[in-house]
Amino acid sequence: MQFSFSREQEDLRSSLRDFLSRRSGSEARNRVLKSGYALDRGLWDSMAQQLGLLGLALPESVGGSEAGFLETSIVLEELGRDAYAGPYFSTVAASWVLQHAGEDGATTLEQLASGSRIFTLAIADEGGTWARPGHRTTAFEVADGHRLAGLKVNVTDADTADEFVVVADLPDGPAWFRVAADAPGVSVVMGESLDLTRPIGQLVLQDAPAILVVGPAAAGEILADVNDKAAVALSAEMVGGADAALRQAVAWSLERTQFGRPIGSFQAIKHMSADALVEVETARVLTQYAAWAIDERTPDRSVVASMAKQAASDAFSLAAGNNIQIHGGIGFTWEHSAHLYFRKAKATSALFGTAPQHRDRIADLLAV
Amino acid sequence: MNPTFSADVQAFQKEFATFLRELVPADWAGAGTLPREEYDAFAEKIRGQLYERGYIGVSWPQEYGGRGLSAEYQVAIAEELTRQGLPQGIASDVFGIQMFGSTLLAFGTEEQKQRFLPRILSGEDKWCQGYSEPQSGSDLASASTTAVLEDGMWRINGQKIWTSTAHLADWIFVLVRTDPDAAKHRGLTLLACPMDQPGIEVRQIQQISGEADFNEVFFTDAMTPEENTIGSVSDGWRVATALLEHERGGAAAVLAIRFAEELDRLEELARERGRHHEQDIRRRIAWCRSRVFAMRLMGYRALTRTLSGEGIGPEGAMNKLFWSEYHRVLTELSMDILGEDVLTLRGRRPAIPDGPDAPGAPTDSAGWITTFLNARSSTIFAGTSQVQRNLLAEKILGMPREPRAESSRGR
Repeated sequence: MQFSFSREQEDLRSSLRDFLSRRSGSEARNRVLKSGYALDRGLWDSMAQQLGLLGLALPESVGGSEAGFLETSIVLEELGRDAYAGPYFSTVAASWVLQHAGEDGATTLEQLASGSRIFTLAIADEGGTWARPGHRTTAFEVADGHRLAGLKVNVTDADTADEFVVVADLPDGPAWFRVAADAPGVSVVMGESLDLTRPIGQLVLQDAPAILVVGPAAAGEILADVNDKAAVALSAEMVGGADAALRQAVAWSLERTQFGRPIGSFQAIKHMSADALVEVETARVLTQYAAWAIDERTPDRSVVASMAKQAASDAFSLAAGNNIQIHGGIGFTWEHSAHLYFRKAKATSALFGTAPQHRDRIADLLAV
Repeated sequence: MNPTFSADVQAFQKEFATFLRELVPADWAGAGTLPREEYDAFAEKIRGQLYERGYIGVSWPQEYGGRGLSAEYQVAIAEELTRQGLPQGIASDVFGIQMFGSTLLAFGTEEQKQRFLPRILSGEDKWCQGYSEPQSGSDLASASTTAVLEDGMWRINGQKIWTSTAHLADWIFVLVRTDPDAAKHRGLTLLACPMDQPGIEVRQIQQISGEADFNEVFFTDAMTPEENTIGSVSDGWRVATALLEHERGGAAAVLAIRFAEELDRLEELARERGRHHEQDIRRRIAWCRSRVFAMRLMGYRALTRTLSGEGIGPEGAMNKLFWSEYHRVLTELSMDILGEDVLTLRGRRPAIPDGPDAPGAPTDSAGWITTFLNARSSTIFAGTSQVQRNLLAEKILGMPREPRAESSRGR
């Protein structure tokens, strides 16, 4: 029985936390609040090349270090804690599909691992979800490959990505394709993102040239796998964010004095914080187990992925909401980063299935 | 990360499972199918058979009747017992084995360990816990029951309350004030005291479910020998709180197994009534499933720490808060599924007054309603949810204590 991380995994966590506090941290958060989202390309390159974060779980042959999903979840938790503004989740999620491309995919994965090209997933059609994308984006074969036509919604980091990994229907079923952002017939329409650190847009495909990555025979299984992994990856991000919001609230409660004592000595504030702590730890243990289950491909991995996602969504919403309340007026201002986490809580909950949707899925999978 | 039992433990569990199957008929559907009146005797009987084969207190050292196995084995045993529909010991085991026994292992003298521990395991001695008083609930350190040492005997006067299983107990470990002049946390001592004596009177208290599982215990010149002092005189606060924190690693994992079985029965109830198609009910069950699984993982995390020799510290407070608050939500859900059937108590009442009922219990309304009523006790006993939240905020989050209004003296 060992429900804890190894020394190497703890080292990964602490070195990354240290790196982020130096290179990102409150300065980067303030930059987002002041001037909006802008990818820090130098930081991205360091994450890819210096720390090897993008190739963490990829084969050595493409420049990766062959670690597991558990290690990836540690990285995501720390990025969530930092409220990191960059396409890490999007790119790593794309790699879960690209890994199935066979030998042709090697160059793509090398570019992904080195950070030289940024990727994202484009799954849901209008009215569709990540689990059931719909059938309105179609693919047809031409002499030099394929062409895609359709509209993909809620695409994360759509304006940062160099390449999209897209689900589209061939005559014999859905398949995965790769589409370059600068190809003809490809355009992106950005929305106003609730999450200031994760831009959201629509991908418009008008007979856009595409490369087949995975055909209909395996595409469905990979989509299910992507949904499980994304749920756990986002849970890890949310556990980090929730913990950051909780710690920010506690730190403020020790500093802020009213009625002649720190507000953190009032039971009203302590009990709010203790409740948030319990929710964060609930989400944490479920996420850690789910990440392990994905690495081990245990039969319960889909159920526990949903358990983690619904718990992490609840924990983050509670902790981030408490954080604003405990800060009082200052917590409600644009300049304070409390709303950065509050926004992330709600937005990340909505990606790859809301908490109620995941509870429905748990009930279905357990045949309640 | 490998949240599974080691191969040795798995082999042990398999062997234990084979042994258990011999104890019950082939069509055994669980101890919850027994009438309430027969349950205690059955639990006692099974416990006796487990003891004979050395399955009680396996993690205790061999010299005191244990097997010196790791806490992992203890969890494996508890898991298998519930899986096979059998009781996890008798009601007083919580006080005898988990609380007093564990404390004695840490603080007792060699002579005390040899005298008390084997008899706790054999079931010859049943124990209860004398902490709360009418005027000392959450503020336990203000206890005012006194003990005075006279010619090698402690003379005890005062009153304890909310004492579960006192009416069945042979012994009580009782927190008493031995130095009225010291600051309140410093004048307390923990004593082991025999129950069968004229100076002790036990009066049962009827609880909100109508049953009487806890008691008032009156001490009027009750006597216990000096050698029954646990730890040092005036060090009782440290011993008593260590006892509360001495919750063995993995206790949450053990509880989670029973909660999972209870949730199976709740699903059965929903199916019987055709309510399992309702989205609201399905979502709440899914939430409960997640909660129970998280409880199990928290137990595994604590177990991991115990196995590596670390204490679980303030996380014990989190586990207590977690399961007791969960159980309130679960029992509310059972009431919503029953709908208008909550109006009358029909069928079998639960055999276990606090927490989930025995495995295999029927889905009768009397069972769920009684458990619903009794669930209100769990968020109060062994430290209220509010006290647990204070502990978490102070010990884990580092938030300051509230200024104390009272003087530092005991009375």
